[in-house]
Amino acid sequence: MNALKLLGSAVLLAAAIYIGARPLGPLPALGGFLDPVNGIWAVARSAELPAAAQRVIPALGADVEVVYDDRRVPHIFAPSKDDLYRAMGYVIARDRLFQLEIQARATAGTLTELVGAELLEVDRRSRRLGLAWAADRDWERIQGDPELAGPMRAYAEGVNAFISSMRPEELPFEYHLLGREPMEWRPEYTLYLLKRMGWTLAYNSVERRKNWVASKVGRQAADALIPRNSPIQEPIQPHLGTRELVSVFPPPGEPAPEAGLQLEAMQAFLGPMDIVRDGDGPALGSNNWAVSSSRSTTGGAILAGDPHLLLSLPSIWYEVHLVVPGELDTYGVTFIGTPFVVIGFNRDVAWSFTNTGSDVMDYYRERLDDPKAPTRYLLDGEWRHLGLRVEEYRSPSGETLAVDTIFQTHRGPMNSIGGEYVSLRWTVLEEEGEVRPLAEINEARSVEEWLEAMSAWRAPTQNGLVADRSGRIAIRSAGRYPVRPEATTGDWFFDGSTSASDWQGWLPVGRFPQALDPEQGYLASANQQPIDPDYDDFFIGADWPAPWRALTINGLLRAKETHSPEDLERYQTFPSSARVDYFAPVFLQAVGRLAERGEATAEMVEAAELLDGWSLEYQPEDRLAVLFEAAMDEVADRLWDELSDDEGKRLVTPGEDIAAALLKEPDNVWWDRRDTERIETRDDVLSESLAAALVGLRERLGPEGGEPWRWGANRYANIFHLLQIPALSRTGLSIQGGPGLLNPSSGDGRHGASWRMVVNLGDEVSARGTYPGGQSGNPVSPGYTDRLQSWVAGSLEPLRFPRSTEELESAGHLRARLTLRSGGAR
Amino acid sequence: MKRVLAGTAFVVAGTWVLGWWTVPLVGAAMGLLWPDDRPALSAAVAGALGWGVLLVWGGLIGPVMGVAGTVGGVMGLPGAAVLLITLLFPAILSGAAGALVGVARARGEA
Repeated sequence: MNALKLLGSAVLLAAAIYIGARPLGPLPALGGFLDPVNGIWAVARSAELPAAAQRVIPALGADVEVVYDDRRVPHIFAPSKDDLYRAMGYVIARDRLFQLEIQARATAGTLTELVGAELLEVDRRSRRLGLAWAADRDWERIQGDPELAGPMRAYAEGVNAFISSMRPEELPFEYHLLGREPMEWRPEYTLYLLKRMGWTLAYNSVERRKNWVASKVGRQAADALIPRNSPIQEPIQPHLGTRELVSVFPPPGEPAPEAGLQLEAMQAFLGPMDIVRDGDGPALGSNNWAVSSSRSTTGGAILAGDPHLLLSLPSIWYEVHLVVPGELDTYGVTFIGTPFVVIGFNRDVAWSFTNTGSDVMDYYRERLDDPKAPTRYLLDGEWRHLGLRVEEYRSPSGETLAVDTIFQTHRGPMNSIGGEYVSLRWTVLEEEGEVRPLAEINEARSVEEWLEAMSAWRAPTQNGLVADRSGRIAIRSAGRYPVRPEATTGDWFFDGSTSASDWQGWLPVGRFPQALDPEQGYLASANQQPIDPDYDDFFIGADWPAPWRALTINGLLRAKETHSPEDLERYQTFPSSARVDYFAPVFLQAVGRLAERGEATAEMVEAAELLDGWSLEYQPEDRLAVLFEAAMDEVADRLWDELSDDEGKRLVTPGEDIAAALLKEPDNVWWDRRDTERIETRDDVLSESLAAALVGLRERLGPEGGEPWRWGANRYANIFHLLQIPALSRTGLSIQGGPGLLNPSSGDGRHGASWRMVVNLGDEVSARGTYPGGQSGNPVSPGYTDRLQSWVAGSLEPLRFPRSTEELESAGHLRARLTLRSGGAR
Repeated sequence: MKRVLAGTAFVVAGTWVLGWWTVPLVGAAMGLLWPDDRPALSAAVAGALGWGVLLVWGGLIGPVMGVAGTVGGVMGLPGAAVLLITLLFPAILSGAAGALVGVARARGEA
């Protein structure tokens, strides 16, 4: 009996120690994980910031005072910029350490080392693209320049000081889950993240869209459906106001065979096509607008900005106030890993960005000496040596998972696609030019200084809007625009064997889309085509979403003589749009014409009556927006049936501004449906679509007007955690927003306003803002999601902008203090 | 009871200072010192109580139940199950070690 007991307890003990010490499948080793002092439970103890704390950063030159306000925003008061960036690295690591690492690893292609082999293909794509390779090359070049490398080095010292002095409760939740330790932060990771920003924003979907359409209906039709110029012009640079261009639509043609190869090349570099990035685009979009002092109720310029990005928890942004007395006093949001405010304001200027969406990516079909074992490529009749990168992928335990050899031409990385070799040239992979402008715009004192700083900006191209205390406003679409060989746009492969195919230079700053103190007294950008081709026809891209948001905001800004900060805040979630103003009457007119001819069905008339009663607003309680949206979907299915596969799936949908242009041609062959005998016209398609929407909604949601028809029950924001873990995500957030609105919402709900800000540059600068989520990366902290409620409601919170720690305290807004002490002195 | 409380105190101190692996050592020590006093049960209770005390201490500082709920959400378990597992684990470690050493010592003495 005793022997049995002995054996039983030995086995039980061995098993418990084994699962305590070793990970079991996806589970971390339970001993360390469940340990109430050092394991996952410890994160409870860091859910709230301690009221006062002192820590040491060995590299600090002098002590730095950090005060957190009631919104958990750190205000860093440092005696020098180097110490400021050290402190910034420290406080960001304190709140967002896991995010720092996963973002850097995602760019570096080393996620397998943190998470495991299941992310091998993601890593392979990152390394094939070469973002980290390009960043490392930049670092080699600039690491000796204290002005450029200094902030990154200091930031890294701050992050690493936090890691090395971290207490058990400060190890982020995700490391406990994965059973890993944080990696050391290297200064060049800042460049990695800037390159990643380029990957997010300078990703060219228009060529993919065009090639995909060409693979279905030929190149001519593709050029018409994915055109170079928006059919409706409301450019960023004020010119002729709103106007419609004349569009010509050739009938569907034969599929272009070479388009398939080009799509494969893009897939090899960029990954599979993505319905959000490559499909219909009305759900995405950033906005910024400003009024000069002449159009402001406060007497000072007012600026509003709301960049729309993939939403995540924690957010891509972190709010911070940076102060070096006499040198820097800047507030705003920073990208995690970047030692500067990216969008924000100081005591003199405020600024925000939207993405320009220019075409800065081209493909070249290369000729190699030996396709099976290439060593050289042909250029102008001479064989040139290929560059070579060997990329090794490792598991968390360090074992080699795979090794890739990546070839490079002078243009960039090369991939083999179906026996062909294609190289990629992309401004994001070229010499960086973002660090200096970011540092300088943080300190700009006027619109002119800000524009001068941004003239060196390279990638991604950005519509930078700026306003200053003297009441002036300006906008410029800044960045590098390649000058291509004459009469080419880079939509199709270039011949790589000749240097005549190469970019021939860069567009000079003077020709960038821009405006300074326009007569109209306001400026706005919403990712629309930035410059009217009538003003300058230089090809800078074609990735322009239908300009509904631009039309809406310009309409709102024109409508009133003066605007208040509250007006600008309200516009950010304005519930209607130029899109519904354009299309809703068109449905009614089409049904009316059919009814006059006695061809309208009962459902058509009924649906038209319902639509006629719609307020044209996407309020959460509205019950007819679903009908309009369903009708628009039905129109797209019928109008673009030539682009659908046999199952009716369509990966690319031409912009709704193309559909709007086709409205002028009621008998155009594109209106005709392939699957019917009769020849449909515009009015047939619009009326049938409206009726089909009503019938479909009744089947799906029940009788009209019921709860399931409520807009708020149909449109959600879904904000996922960085590791896509549902329990750490917040989904199903009922929001006010919709296609084409200034607050656009995508079908999957994953995109939205990542930061909203309104700055009034009156006698005293005042600002309001919010972002979805919160400052803390700790999922059990109230600070993880404490801003979600205001964000969902579309309301902004006052941003504290104190001149001293005492000012914050005396105003009653102080939440916590952190004193960072110099290591050497104590 | 005093022995259980003493074991609890050692589990708390050992986990705090050195880590989770001290739990079976405390259990083994209880089996060694008090082999006749149902060492498996005493050690198991001491293990669970020790970590329970540490959880209560953590709960005084931060949202321990929030951690339970969040971890449970990640693992597809109710939060209470995560708490239970956290108490069961040291109980098994300590109890099994106590039983093993207690029985071995008893056999040795026999």
